[in-house]
Amino acid sequence: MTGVPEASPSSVKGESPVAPSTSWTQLAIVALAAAVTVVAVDRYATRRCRDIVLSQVDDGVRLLEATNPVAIAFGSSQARSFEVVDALLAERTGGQTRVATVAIEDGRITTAAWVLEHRLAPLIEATGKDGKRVRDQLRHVIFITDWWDSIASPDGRTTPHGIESKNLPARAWTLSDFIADVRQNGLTDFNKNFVAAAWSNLFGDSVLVRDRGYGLMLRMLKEGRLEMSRAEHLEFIDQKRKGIENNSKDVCAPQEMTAFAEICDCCRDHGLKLTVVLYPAMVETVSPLARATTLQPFADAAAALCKQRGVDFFDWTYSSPLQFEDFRDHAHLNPAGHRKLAEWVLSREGDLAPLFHP
Amino acid sequence: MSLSEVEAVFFLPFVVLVYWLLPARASWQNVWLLAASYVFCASWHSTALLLLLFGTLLDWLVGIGLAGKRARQTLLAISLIANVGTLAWFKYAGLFTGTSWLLPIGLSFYSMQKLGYVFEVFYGRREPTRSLLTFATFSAFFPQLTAGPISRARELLPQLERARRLSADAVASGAGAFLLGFVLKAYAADRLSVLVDPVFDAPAGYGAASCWLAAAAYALQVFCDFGGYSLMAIGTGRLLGIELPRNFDFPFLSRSLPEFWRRWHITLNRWLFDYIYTPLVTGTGWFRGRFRLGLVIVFLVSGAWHVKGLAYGGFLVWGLLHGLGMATQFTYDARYRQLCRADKRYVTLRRSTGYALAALLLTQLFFVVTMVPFHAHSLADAGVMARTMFGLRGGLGGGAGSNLAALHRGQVLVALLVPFVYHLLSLERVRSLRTALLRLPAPVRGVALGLLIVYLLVYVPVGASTFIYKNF
Repeated sequence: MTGVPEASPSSVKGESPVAPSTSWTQLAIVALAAAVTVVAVDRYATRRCRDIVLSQVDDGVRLLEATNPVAIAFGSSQARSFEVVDALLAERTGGQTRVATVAIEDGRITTAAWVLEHRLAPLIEATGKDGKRVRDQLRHVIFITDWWDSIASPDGRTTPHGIESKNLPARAWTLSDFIADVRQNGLTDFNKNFVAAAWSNLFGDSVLVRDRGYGLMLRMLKEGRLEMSRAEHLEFIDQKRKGIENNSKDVCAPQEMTAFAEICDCCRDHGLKLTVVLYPAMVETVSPLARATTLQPFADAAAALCKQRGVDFFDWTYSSPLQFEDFRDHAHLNPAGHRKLAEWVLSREGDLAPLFHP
Repeated sequence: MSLSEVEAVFFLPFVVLVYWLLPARASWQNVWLLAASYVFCASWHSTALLLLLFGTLLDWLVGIGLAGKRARQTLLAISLIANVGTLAWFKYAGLFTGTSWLLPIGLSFYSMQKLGYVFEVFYGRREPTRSLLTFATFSAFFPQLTAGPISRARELLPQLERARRLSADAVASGAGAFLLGFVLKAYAADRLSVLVDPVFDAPAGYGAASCWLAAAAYALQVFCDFGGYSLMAIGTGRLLGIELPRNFDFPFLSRSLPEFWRRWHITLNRWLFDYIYTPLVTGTGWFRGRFRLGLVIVFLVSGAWHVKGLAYGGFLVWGLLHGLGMATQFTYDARYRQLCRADKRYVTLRRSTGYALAALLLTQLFFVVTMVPFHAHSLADAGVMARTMFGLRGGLGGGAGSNLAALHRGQVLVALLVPFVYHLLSLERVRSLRTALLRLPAPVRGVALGLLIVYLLVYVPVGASTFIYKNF
């Protein structure tokens, strides 16, 4: 009879990297040798690739907890430039003047509003035994953003194309936020980002874990640099240019602009002066069409909102000293680019000079 | 929750560690396994846990009831209606309402497992399980909850009834199976998407070569995805001292469709043959002896079982094609046996390498072609792709933005090689090499294992994995 007869119970062949009959000693030796190998490779890679670990919200929150800064710079992943601003400022003032940077990877304005309200506001309001604010030097908040942050995200979790946002706010959650979300929605691709972040934080100084999937480590090890070759970079930018054009209909999503207003209100309520900065664009990615239909509508909407709320607004989209070679990709800077921008920000002629040179 | 994703890094070591720290008594171990399994299930959604709890209690009571002599048919009917009805509701109600229903995790798998138990008790092949704890653990055992393997009652229940003991062999083979499964699933299956997705998303834009590559890559991808997860489940079972049935047995070495289905998704197929085909064609009804029709029905049921979302036509066509293929092979085998009896040269021919290769090629080609309706977004798309593959439309090459270009990427080639090497290592001629590798000194094996872990840390991105069979 043709059919599917009895299958042998399990005993799956060929799947064990350990010998067929194993003693605990052998097993321990295999495990130990494997662990030593992983650690050795990781230490080597970490030594070679120190610059590729990107700070996340938790890193910024930790810095804010440990310092009494004059300003918090928070917003898009591009906000990481302010880490260099902070380093330069600390160097010049002997650590007296600091800027706590909270960079949000792949977030939206709604995400930034969540981070401000749930992670930063409690630290802003934290008081000592005398009832005064612990961070009594803190006067300013700098919100760094660009058009991408205003792209529609129907439920705060998904992109316009229905893909669950890979990073935030789940990566910025505390354990209680995670448990509350799992209780409400079950374990989803979105809230699993918290677990991924927890895994990353467990091995905070391991490049193998922190770079997992980004591929920067391999580039660094193989080519000794983080940047793409010029040809690769140009091809990459070409794709991104089309992407910006294609996003014109999703920019300035109502819920994102509402969140923008909430950020303004939140800073006012906490007695902090807000400054909004549109981060410099790589001009090579901006076609006339993208400028007219994607970037400018967002810049206009942001400017109008800031004017309405009495918030300082600076549009650096086309006015920074940055050039093609300062960018690591289409929107983020390489170390030299960060340095150049930070020097510019701190120069007495810069828009933010009053914040740092009162 | 999935064994292949980042949450398992926290969940699995914790569960395994506490499990072995508990007193070595079946009840303690089962309580812990059940708690872990329910957390695993509830992590998807609390509704999924409620369904599982209700189904478990019902089938346990039905099992107890079946031990008596009264109302046995009614009890069987209640279990059938509850299990098949729930499954059908979640799978097919959307077809009538036009809204896609989210299938509770594992429902397709644990329903089959519980029904198998009820059938076994009904036919008097085993005594019902009196312990609700043991039965609940059998129904919800988390490694197999998401995607099987579907255990028979006689395979899993006796193991749950006695205390499990930790052994170095079980840990070694369990960790090995888990790691191999992870390589297949999280590394190879995910990387093959670049060959598959663009073509299945818009088949009209591609030529024959691209379509063939996409269909073949999808066959490999499903194997890596599902076979890999099955291995991870088996490995997890072993880490807990429990042996689960194998689900895949190097299917791409099959030389006939019946052999293929003995090697592919073994536990589903043996369930279908145990509880549908065999009673149908060996019973007393009209179907008795109608083997070919029985085969077609079984594979149509298999097709229906695979239905997900609002797409059903492709799965039914897939099932029908395999049913017809099996029936054709049945006829061919019967005729060939006659030829062999008449002329011994046919026996020699069948044993020749040429015959084996031709049989292998035809079997695999048939499977690859049937992947088209299985995975196409619509029957119209499947038609376009099939016509392109057989030269009835489009060009012969790749088409604009072809997936053929992806073959130049090192990672894609490595991903393609993984299932081939996996199959190759099962061959008798290569087995000695594998044995020799496994006999290398423990430190050398440890270093190799460490390098493999480094490779996976570098190339398997967090949160980007797919899981094809979770959806069925």
